[in-house]
Amino acid sequence: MSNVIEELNLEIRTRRKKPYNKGAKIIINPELCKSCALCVFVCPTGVLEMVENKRNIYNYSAEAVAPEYCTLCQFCVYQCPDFAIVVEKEEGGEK
Amino acid sequence: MSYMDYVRQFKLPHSWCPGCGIGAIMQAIVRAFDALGWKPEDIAFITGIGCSGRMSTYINANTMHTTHGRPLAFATGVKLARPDKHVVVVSGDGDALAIGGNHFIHAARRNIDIKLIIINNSVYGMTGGQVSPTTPQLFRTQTTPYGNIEPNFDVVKLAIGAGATFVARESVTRPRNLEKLIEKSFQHKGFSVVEAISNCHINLGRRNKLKDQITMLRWINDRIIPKNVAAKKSPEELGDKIVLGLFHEDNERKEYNELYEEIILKARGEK
Amino acid sequence: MRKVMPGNETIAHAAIAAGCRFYAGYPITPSSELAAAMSYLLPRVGGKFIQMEDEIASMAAAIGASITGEKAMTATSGPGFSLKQEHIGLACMMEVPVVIVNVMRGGPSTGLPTHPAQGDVMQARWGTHGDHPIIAIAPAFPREIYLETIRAFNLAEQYRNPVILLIDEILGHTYEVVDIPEPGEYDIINRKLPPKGLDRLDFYTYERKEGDPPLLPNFFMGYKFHFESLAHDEMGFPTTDPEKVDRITALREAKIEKNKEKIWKNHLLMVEDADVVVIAFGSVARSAMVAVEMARKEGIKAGLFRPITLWPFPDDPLRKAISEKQRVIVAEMNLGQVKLEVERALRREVEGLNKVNGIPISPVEILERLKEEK
Repeated sequence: MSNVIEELNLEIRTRRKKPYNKGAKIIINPELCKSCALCVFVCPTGVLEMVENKRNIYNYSAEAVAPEYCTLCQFCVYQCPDFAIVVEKEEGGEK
Repeated sequence: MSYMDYVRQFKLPHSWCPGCGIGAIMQAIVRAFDALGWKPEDIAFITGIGCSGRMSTYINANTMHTTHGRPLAFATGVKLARPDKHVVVVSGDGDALAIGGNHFIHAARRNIDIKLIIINNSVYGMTGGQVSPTTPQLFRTQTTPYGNIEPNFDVVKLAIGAGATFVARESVTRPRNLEKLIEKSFQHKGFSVVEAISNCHINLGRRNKLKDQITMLRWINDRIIPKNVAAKKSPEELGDKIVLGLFHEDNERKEYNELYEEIILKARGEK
Repeated sequence: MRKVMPGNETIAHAAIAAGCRFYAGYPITPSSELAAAMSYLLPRVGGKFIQMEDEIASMAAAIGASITGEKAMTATSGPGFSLKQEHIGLACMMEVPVVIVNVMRGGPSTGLPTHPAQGDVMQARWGTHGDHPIIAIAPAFPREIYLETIRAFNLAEQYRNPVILLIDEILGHTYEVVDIPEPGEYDIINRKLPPKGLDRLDFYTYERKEGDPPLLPNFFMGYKFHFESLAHDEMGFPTTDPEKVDRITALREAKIEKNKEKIWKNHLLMVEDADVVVIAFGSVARSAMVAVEMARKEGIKAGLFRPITLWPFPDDPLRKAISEKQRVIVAEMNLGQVKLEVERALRREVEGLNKVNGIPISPVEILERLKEEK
């Protein structure tokens, strides 16, 4: 992974202060995600990271590695240029 | 997810580069459509040429992909023929301010009810990264290999000077604010301009030490400053920062079609 | 009803009669009076007139209005016609009906603004870049100008293509008695629309046989349809797939190519038994008519072949009408543009009578040439 992505991941981990445990479900559509890392970048609580993914042409893609920190703020959804990410609450489903 | 009703989902994934701000701006636009409850068949969505121009393929409405610089002229024909419909134009910085500059100032002067969104990524991206009227000075581009010597347009001042009655500027790094501002511009009756600051890391950033989307967005975040915060700063402190917010809103001036309806009544009243 | 009007005004009245309810234009000599007439007449019938900031914007606005379903027109002269070319091509690519009037004046460039010429014939055919079909009509008489304007709108609507109406400064500015036809004397053709509520978007090929125009929806009809300036597929979306590009290109060309016989219109005067045939159009043809009559009185068997539809060029009708033995003189106020097409059609060299100094070709000039030995 490139330097920028590694540095980003390190910075992300410092954003995790306390878990909210809101039962968030973060779904990234692999057909639409272009691994741009914007969702990782904007998440205020460090829910997402760029992880290795050999099936992706960039060899990495975004994944919600720490969903317990999600506040359901939807920043990632608003920032995603590709309509690739959906954030829902476990029961019922909220957007 | 009803804002997805305004997206031609069968055309996704779109062709913009990974991390390009245009996609987020498109999301803000369709969210605004949804918030206002406009029907897709009542919307005309017209674009020019360039990366921004490609948006018309992806919006589920009556769409047109026109020639470079001219979407406002086509939109004027559409709006004049059907004043009761919603006409939205998306144009890039080169498209709207260079080749389209003339149409920009006249649409503003007429105060015709067209909603213009200028996606300003400070470069001609699609053609490989040439200098545009909003490229920062000293920046290297394909046609300014030794650095850009030309000063920039201030889109807000230009729009206000030309007579636009709703003028605002936001950044792709503040998508919620952008969406709210676009919504407000859509509700305005008259010519509205929303300038959306965006990033082209592939064809502009790469030549200027901003070679990826994260670095370039950080750079944009460092340059932007909301209006109310800027008001407390001195000109030296402000420097060349980009001020965001709603700069002008005039709800008194009559809209073009209103005035033309009066002409029709006058003409029909005459023998 | 009879009215004394210059050609520019005749066209304006005829356009309204044809159902035109949108005009976007820019002032340019010698067509400005057409714009003025439309600015006066259109609001009286609830139509819309706008003087745009330039010629390019005028062409764009007219196309934009046409896409919503309105019959739209713009008028100009040489320099403006040059400016409009990009958008004429766009209307060809998108297959949108629109009428462009070109009141020809001396060129090139600013040229002779207040003098007639016929120098835009080739530009009408090939002015815009790329391969595209075009229809161009050149009337010559007042009542004919009226009826041909209506036919221009009919052809634009029927074939979903830009149609260029070519007159010159003389026809545009000369006041003449116009014997205005009654509504029952002509047909009005409107574009065919697809039925509402279909669950499809492939209208560029929907029920389209070779030679048909596409059944495209108007804006706001319910379909969320895309009009595209790039090469596009059946649904109007951009494509670079060579098969799709070929398919749409072939259908677009066939629209005009396969209907040439219905679009051609010629006026033949004493051609059958003529020894010498003059080929001329527009105001020059009026001089030629007088010259041919005068020649006949002097014992010269002259005839006139007058194309009214200039593009598609009437090559077959010419071949049928003119024999190898007949002497042919092409009289035009340019340096031989129609002559090029005539020579192509007849496969032999013919004579030209050319004048580009702004002074009309007079009947006597043509008669003198008729009397000359070849």
